[in-house]
Amino acid sequence: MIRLRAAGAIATAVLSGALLTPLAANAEGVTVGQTFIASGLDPAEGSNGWALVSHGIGEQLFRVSRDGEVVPNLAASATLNNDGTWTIELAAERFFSDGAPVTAEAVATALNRTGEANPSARATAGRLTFTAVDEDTLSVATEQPTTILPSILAEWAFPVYQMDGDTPIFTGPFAVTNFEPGATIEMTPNTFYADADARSDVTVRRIADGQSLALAFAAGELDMAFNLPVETLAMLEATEGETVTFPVAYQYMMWMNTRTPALADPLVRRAVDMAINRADLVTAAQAGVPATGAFAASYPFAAEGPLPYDPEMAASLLDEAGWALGDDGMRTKDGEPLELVLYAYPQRPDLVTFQPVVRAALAELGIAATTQVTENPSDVAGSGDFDLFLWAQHTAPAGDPGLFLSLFFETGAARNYTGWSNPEYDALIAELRAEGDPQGRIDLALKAQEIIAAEAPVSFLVTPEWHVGLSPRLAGYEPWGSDYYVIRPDLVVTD
Amino acid sequence: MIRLAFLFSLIGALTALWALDAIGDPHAVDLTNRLAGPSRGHILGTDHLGRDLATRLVWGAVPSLIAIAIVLAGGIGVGVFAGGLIALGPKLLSDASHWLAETALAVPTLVTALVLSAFFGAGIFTIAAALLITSWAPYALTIAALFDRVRGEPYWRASEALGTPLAAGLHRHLLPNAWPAIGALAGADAGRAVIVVASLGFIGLSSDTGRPEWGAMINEYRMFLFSEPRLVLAPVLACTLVTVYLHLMLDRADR
Amino acid sequence: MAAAFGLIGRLTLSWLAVVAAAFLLLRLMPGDPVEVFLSHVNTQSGPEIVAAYRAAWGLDGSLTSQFLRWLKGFVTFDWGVSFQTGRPVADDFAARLPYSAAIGFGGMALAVISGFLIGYLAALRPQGAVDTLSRGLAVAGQSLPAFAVGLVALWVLGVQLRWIDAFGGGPVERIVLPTLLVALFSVGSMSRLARAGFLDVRRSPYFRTALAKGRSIPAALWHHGRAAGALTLLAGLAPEMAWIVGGTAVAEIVFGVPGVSERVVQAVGHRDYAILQPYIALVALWVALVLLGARSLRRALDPRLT
Repeated sequence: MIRLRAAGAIATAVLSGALLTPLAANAEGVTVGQTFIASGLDPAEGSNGWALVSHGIGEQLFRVSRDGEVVPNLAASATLNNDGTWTIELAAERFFSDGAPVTAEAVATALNRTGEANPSARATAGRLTFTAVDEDTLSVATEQPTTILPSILAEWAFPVYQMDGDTPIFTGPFAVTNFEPGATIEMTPNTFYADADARSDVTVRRIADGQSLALAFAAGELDMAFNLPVETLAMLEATEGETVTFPVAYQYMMWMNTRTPALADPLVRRAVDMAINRADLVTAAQAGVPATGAFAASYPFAAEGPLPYDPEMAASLLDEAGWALGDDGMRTKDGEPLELVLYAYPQRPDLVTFQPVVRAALAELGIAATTQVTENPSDVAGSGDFDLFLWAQHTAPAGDPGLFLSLFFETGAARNYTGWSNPEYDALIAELRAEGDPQGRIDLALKAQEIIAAEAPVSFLVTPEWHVGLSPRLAGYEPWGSDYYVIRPDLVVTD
Repeated sequence: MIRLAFLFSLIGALTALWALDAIGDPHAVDLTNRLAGPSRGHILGTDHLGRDLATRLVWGAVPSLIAIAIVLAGGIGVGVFAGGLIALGPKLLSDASHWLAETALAVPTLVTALVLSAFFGAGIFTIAAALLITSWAPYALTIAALFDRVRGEPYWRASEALGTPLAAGLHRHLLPNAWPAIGALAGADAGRAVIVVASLGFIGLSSDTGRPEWGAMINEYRMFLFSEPRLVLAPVLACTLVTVYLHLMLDRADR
Repeated sequence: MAAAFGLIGRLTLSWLAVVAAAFLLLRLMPGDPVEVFLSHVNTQSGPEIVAAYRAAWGLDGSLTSQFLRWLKGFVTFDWGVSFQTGRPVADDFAARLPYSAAIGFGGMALAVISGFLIGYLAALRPQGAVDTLSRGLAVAGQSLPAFAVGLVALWVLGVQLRWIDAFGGGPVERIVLPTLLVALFSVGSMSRLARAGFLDVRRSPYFRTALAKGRSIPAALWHHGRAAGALTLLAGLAPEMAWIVGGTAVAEIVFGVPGVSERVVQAVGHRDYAILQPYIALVALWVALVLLGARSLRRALDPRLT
């Protein structure tokens, strides 16, 4: 026994000794705490591209602006040629963090490499083939014809980089100096990026648990905490610094399974849609604004004006549909009670918070709802084994409405979870797919949302808001762009 | 004496809540009355959706106590049987049970529960099965180790030599001798069972996650740990009360 | 020598059985890793893309061939790449395992040693202060949620008192609190088990004989009871190991430690078999080794066992 203890003690000491590697302390740098962090630096692997862009390390040819529009970044322009290929002109005076200029040759090599290795880079228009025409002109051939190449190139899969041996070098405002997977990334300003002197070193630290993140912020260990659970805000009131709330593009919605006997009837679906008070949901989540349609209000293609809340109208719609109110306050039709199962998933805690509120609203109307939680939402939704499903979705990840409207609502589309089918809508989306003019696309997207509102295969609920903790040193920082653009060129310390 | 006092205080507390007419609808949402402190109408106050905390606590008692009962009765029952097999069974059966137990220990509970849910869907029986499957193995291995020890005792050798049937031997010699240690362990799983049930609900095993349950409440209210500790403390203390009671009953002070 | 080989053979067989069963269980989990991945990264997917990922991740071919391919890779340290991150799994484990091992081993060692001592003191005076403490620890360990205790500790030590830099410190600083948390939740039941073993001896005739010979109670209980106390405690290691594996994950998440268990929690959500399989294989090995060690120790302590 005693010998064992001694051996254990020695083993522990050796282990701890091996772990005693000093972390570079940087008193002046900025420390950012986030619940997610890049798991690798190579954009050709997994979803690294997303995190690299969000950390201010990588940049794409195009990006989504604060107003939700696709704007040129490393590119200057993109033109669709008559033969279906695209020509891209690169912006002048852009450099990798080692000082090498961004050339058409470098961009083509990197994006062809990503396209070959990462299936996600082939998702929207098939394989893209990049060819350098001259020093700053690229020709792009797409496997499937597309009118929205700039949007595609603004997707997270397309950061521009140059391989230096096994290490990718990027063009963003910050360059990586030390990388510990899943824990920390240390970065220094990219000296070849405009206004590099204004920026300080940045350490990104991953703290997976939202409450721990709030505590680390309260303890003064972080300059920025991205993003804080709303419940921790009260505790942080006493903390130096501020918490900023900003809208994000992940819409909260509720699928209605049009294949189930009750919800096959559009009257019942509209009744359910009208029975939910979106303001109540906002109160329950303590953040966000009532949704007006498929897209956050900041997008040019967002629908106007409030969606209806009218319990009396909802009740009369149900009467009209033949669901009569019984003495017990519950509705039946041909002896069958009106019972619905409402799903949500814990990865989005707000949705779980909504469940009891929706349940109570439906009970008020005479609908018996029970709630279930699943941790693999796309499976359950895909199987069609649900009545109602609370869902969060980034509806315009690349600043374009087309993807969401076709992927989730076209007849038989890959993620048409509700089983809804409407020929008029399908025709509209076909038109949208071929439309190249931005204003034309906006008009079509608005029309599509009108059809959805009238048929109610889905109920758009809330445009959520997130909360960021900022120490006084970062007082000038304004968060926008969900989790796509967290560390940006304008992340500077104020004196 | 203390044990009885605890039992009575538990029953007393429940009866008091009934008598005070605190048992209403646990689903009644009132967003104009969020996070209200204790008052006459809401003796423990309301939660973040304005639901009455006391009502949810009382409603949650039944499923939580059932979960504890399943783990204690089922887990130990199967555990004693499998532990007996490992310690005393024929080599092949002994090895197989040993492997099974080690597998159950090595595979994360979450994985096992997900597989069960795929086959049997949501519902109380799936939850019971998941609880059983995840709780028997530690008992089995412990009990096997304890039996192993008793097997060295002279009286066991004597009874073996006399040809006493295995079941009779188990009953007469092994269980009474292993019991103090089993009891000490069994107190142990009670509280954890409540937490496990909640996590099972969260991966889709519960057919209605809206129904209150202590573990689910702890999970639902965890974010209010610092802003409204009352919400977390209430189900935790309920759990502790039951655990203390079981502890005093199973892990006897005088033995 | 032959016995040692037999032992290793038995251990390997048992490990193989566990790993094969776990491999099958993982595949039976609902949720297809490719679908989970594609929906997580917000991309549209056609069948060719799904097939491309399937091939890249070794999910094509029969289950048996998949298992054999994986097993061959595992023993040759070719652990493939994570489905979720695309990084080599072996690198991930090399960076993360030291944290988890330190927290798990440290927590277990601390719990076993202090549990044994508390159990001894509790048995010395049943119903006394230490006995009550041990019962209190046991009850707390079962009914308090570990995440809440961890968060409150962070709040008190990090925010209110500012004694520790829980997230900013070096690796050793980072594992202190998690180790204590894991140990805290185990020490109660360890001490109850040790106490049961000591008390067993206290009631035995030879203990009374020792007292009659003029030994003091503490000396006699230590002398005659420590083997029994250790034996009972060792017998109860199995349930604690189940806790330690889970508790390490909770501690890693709450304290932001980049360990393996925390990674596995993400991996279950992503159905990342590439991470889950080696993890289960390693846990299985650990469980088998600890149980074997405990068994050998029990044999050493109790010569009547064969």
